[in-house]
Amino acid sequence: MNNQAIYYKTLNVDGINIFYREAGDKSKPQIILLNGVPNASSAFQELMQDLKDKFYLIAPDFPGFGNSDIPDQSVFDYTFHNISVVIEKFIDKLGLTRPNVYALGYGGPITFRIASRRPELFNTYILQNSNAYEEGLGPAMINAAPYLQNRNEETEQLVKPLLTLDGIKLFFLNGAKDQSRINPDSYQNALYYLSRPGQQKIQLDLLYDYRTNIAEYPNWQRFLKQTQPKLLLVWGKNDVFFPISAAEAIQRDVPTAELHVFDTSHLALEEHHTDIAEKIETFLIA
Amino acid sequence: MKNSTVKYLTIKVNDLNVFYREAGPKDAPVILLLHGYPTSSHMYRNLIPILSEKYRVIAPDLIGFGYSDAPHYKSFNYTFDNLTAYVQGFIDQLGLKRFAIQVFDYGAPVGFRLAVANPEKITGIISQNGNAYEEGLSDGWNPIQKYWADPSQENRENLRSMTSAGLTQWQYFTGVSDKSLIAPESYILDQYFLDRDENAELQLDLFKDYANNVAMYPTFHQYFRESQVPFLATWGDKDPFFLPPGAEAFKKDLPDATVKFFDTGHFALETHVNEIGEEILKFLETLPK
Repeated sequence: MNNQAIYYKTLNVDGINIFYREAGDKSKPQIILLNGVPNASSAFQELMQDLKDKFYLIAPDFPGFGNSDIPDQSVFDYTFHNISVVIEKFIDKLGLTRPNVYALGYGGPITFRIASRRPELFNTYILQNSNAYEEGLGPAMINAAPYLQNRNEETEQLVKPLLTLDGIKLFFLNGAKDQSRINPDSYQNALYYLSRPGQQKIQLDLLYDYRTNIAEYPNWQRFLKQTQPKLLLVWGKNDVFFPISAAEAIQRDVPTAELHVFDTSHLALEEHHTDIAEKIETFLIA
Repeated sequence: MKNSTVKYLTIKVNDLNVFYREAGPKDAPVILLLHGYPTSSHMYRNLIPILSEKYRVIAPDLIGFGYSDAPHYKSFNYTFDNLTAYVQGFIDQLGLKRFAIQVFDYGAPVGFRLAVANPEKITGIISQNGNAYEEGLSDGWNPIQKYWADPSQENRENLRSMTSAGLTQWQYFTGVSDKSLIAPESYILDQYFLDRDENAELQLDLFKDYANNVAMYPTFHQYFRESQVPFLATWGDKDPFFLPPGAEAFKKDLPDATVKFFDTGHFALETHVNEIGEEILKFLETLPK
């Protein structure tokens, strides 16, 4: 394999073609990178460029996201549980062994669900702007709370704007220090994928299912306290979804967790992928 | 680790917004990257971090492409002369005095016009599948040449499918042996821009005006002969539009030109960015500062 390149591949899991980005040499330490809205695996493109000489990197798109298949809702319920089952099978089918996991946003609930079932699967955890604590819910999540409690036409209006260009920009630009560092390709691409037919329903269903993650938070907290995993926290502190309080809550339960704070948005990699790559190298290799 | 801090900026040129990417040390020698059809400076996203360690890299979007303004085709005359006028305005506004150019596809007729008008500014030229010789034109140009010969609505309509998603993907995959190297965001973003309101019309106008590029080939050749500008061609040898003889032909007027072929298609940077980046760095080292 040409180690300088990133490859764009698919793997069939239970009849669903899962798209993934692959880079680096398989004999190197493995990292699986997980993200959901708004930009799926493309969130990791530059980080993968930064890390591909020293790690074996795999970044899948969840079913319904990015370039993966979008199974019909009559055969696939878009829930965090179901997605976590597909991703767990994906990891096994690809033959990853004790990978490290990098979880961003929706990637966190997927990771915690898999880890709860198989505590030995992941070697270490790198969490970025992802949450397992009530106090980690930022203003944009609190704004969505009525929708999670009671889904109806009225509460849907609270969250529908998240799927528009302005809503997508919230992930990228709100809290970013220097807006000229944010690549417009990122949010234009995200808009393209989220504007496809059927996406609105899928994304609203999945967001509504986020309530099951909040219900699981106490279990994930117990998992963190009891297993004391090796943890790296890299955080965009101005995130309106999962602000720095989300990281601090994790650190309270896992005091050895190493926390690095960046003055940026939810999608901290946009401005700080090189800084975060350095922290990962030190965390996993040094 | 690469210095991959890229800025995404916009500057007003005359009446229009020109978007550009910029990276690298402010005081380093400048290289200007000029993109092709149907893409934008997005095509340079992987090359920029390679070059920006030692060079100030600037990559604008042409008018009608990417994030630059795309005025309606009835209110703006989409010709290569006009696209060049905005790049000229762009370099004047940024105050670029001396720079190398890397040109691809449409970037070539724009960049070569710029070089003809500003020979004192150009330190060197890199062409990646950026043509200037008739022997480089493949049969793929036949329907476009038909439209040049007879600019009827029928001949225009015959070209419309060239702006479709299917053909955009075809351009990316044709000639590429390992298809898993092509990032889906490349053709998806291109198509997003092409599918904007009536963008296809301005693209059809430019297909028509490409005849004027071919008409200018002798002018470009004369510039090459008289300037003997340092020249590197990096060419995907399975490009369905611009054939390898088009790369070799530069040597007729520039005997010292270096010509390197890569086993890939039109968008050679999608599959061979590291190899091409290395050649460009070697070439830039040899240029006057």
